[in-house]
Amino acid sequence: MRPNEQSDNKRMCTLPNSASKWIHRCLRTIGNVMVAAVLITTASVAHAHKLNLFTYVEGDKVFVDGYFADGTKARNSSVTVRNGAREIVIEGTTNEEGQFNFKLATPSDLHIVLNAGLGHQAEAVIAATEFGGTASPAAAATTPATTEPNATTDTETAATGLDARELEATVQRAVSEGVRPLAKEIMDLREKAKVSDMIGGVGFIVGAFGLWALFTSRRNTRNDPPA
Amino acid sequence: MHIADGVLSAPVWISGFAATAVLAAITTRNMDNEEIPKVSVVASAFFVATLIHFPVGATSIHLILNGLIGVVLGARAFPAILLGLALQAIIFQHGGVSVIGVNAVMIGGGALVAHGAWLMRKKIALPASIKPYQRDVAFGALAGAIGILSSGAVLALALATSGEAFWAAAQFVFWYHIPLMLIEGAVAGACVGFLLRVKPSVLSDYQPPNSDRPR
Repeated sequence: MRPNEQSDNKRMCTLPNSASKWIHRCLRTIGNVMVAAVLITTASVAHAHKLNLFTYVEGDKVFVDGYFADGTKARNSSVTVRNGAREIVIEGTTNEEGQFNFKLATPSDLHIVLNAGLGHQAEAVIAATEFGGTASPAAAATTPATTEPNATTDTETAATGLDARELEATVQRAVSEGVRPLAKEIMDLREKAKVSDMIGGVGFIVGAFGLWALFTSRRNTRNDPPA
Repeated sequence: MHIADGVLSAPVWISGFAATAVLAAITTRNMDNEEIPKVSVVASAFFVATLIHFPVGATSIHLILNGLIGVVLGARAFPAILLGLALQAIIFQHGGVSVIGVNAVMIGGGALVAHGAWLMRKKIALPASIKPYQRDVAFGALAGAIGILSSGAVLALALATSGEAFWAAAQFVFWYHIPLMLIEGAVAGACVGFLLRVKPSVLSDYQPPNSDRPR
């Protein structure tokens, strides 16, 4: 039998043999790739990758937000908060939204560790100076007797405007609310994998192996007899 | 799967670097200059592949492909993966820098085990009705799955040293990675099948054709 006789009998189209073979090869490749794609899209597995930890302070409340680089929230992940003396201040787990909030009685330097299991961990540091507007709540907590007179004087001064302390607390709250989405966006931008970084990495790899080839070929030809 | 900084204790990640140094020395011995372009292309593909996410419902996955790399490169898979991991850790903070050694043993070691599984395809007696092509594709898929399985075992071992109970961690890791094992096996099998038809010499442990050639 001639080499291509069998495939000639099966051929339905009148393309030349090489083109037909190439088309069949492409179709088989597409078939294989489609099988793989179907399996990928039916998978329920994640992810992971880099765990991001976003923290912000509002007054005496600390908000902790954990999420992975692809946007998945870090649910039921353990949060450990230590103070400047490395003692554990508070421990807990993130909720369904990947968030964990807590109040601090006294502001101090905080070291927050978020662990989502399987080796994913992220850390963040909060300086004591970020706790602003604590004068009002702390004063209110320690001097309950004086809040009544303060309330009456506030209503009296309502016509003339807020007193300085209230104003400061309000402004601080408003600014931190406004800045919070910006801070998150900056963090996301920093963490994002850019195409330029990818190209740089590939270039580094190719260059590293190229240098290796250069040096090993030099070593191999160094002992060759002179031409 | 890439472990972050601060999860493992110092003795663990230091021994990770020691094991990586030993494995790297063994697997880069007598590297032929002709092999270098192939190794660098596959290393680049590994580096990029783990950064490409396929959105799946509410989350996304990325391929690791260490099984396939073990089938294609053989022993040279370890230095390729080591370089890819180091760059990922340094450029993208994908995995910690102090645990590059442990991550290399985890993923590169998985590639070496997958290569061992690929080599077994000629050594295991199979019924004569299975054609060589089908056997090779099946072992390619098996190598893909075994790559992830071995990596998961090393991950469970590493996590166990940081205080988690070994069997609990191992079970969690195992169930968590089963879908990934299936996907990687399918992708590796598909790629091996494609390469066998188009350019079988790319795969490691390639015997020039006589009666074994797939038609």
